[in-house]
Amino acid sequence: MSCDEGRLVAFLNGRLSEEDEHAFDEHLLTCEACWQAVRADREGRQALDELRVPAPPGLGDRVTSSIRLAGIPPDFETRRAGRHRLHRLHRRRLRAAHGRPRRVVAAAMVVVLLGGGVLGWVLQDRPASDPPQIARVVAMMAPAVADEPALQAGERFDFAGQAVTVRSYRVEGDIVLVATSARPFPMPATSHVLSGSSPAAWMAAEGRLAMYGVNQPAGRRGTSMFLVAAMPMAKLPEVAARLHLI
Amino acid sequence: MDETRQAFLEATLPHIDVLYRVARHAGHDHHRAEDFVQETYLRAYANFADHRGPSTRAWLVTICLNLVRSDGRRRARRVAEVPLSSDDSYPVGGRDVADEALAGVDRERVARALDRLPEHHRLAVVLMDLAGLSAAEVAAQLGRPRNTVLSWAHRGHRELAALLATEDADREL
Ligand SMILES: [Zn+2]
Repeated sequence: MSCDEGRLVAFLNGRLSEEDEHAFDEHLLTCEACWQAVRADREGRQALDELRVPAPPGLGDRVTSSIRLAGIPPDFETRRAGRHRLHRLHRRRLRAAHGRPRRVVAAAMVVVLLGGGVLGWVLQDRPASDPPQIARVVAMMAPAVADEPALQAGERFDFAGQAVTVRSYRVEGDIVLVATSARPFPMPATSHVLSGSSPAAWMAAEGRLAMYGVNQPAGRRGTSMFLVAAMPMAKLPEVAARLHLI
Repeated sequence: MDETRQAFLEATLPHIDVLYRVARHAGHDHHRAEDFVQETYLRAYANFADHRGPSTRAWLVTICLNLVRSDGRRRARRVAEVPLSSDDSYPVGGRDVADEALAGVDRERVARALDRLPEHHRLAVVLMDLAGLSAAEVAAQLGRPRNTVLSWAHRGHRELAALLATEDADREL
């Protein structure tokens, strides 16, 4: 028998017929090259045992937190409920009625400071052609009690057909609200788009409040996010990074 | 936590160790292994509805490997090689500290040697030996025939043994 790497590899992986395996055993007794190859293969495999380590402690928690923050993927929701076709039909009807559905249902989110420094959400309907008008207060968030990175239970609500989850954190004494959604958040009129960022990131300030958003491009799946806190605008990206959001 | 997230995490969290190993050893950017794992989970979650087929592990590994490799290609344009730095230690478990320190040294040696293997050999070894994928799964993953993948892994094992043996010899001199 001659030396053949294919046969050697088949032997190492237990893929030779019984007959061929016997023949290869015989060959190994007399062939130093193949014998060394078999030994080296075993040594290499054994060395790799060193690298079969578990993930670092804490990585599981970090992953779980980020999944909790992620919006429900739109496809999942619709498919799971078996409403996929209905959903598409609904979108088509909207388009037929309004021409450009995204703009018609566009809504801006603004955040106001309520008494005692508690941040509250005010969602503002903003039809594309009309001036901004505060329509309703959808939710008021209690201040976060736990220190970062502990999570508050998220409040989930539906706004103009957009499922939004809001959570609050305390980061070094500052309360930070984080809203996530499977759809992009409308940008406030005063926002600066951070150039060169993808997905599109923007920042805005309203009075004492700073806002920071990261929008997935329309049509792409993923989670868009919106942060707000009473702090200088320049501090927000750092806070987002500390919360492992960016 | 709602049902969807719960179902997703139950299906995917058991594979976190495997993903960490892939993230850490498939590319050269060991420091970012945890980021790659987190990003893998977020992408997997976004595509969970599309996930079919028998192996959740193979599906997750595909996502992770794509992330690591596309990042590697981006980086390759900027830096030639990212050396394994000395503070890049493995997390320690419950073992005795001295034991653990010695084991850490061995792990570092093996990790460094693995890092020096030719790309294909390293990938075959990482996916088969460290991620536990079958040769057929790795073949599908890398788009090469099964026998080719098995032979890459074999060469990888031998090169690894040779590199470690050379290092041992150097240390004894
Ligand atoms: Zn031979």
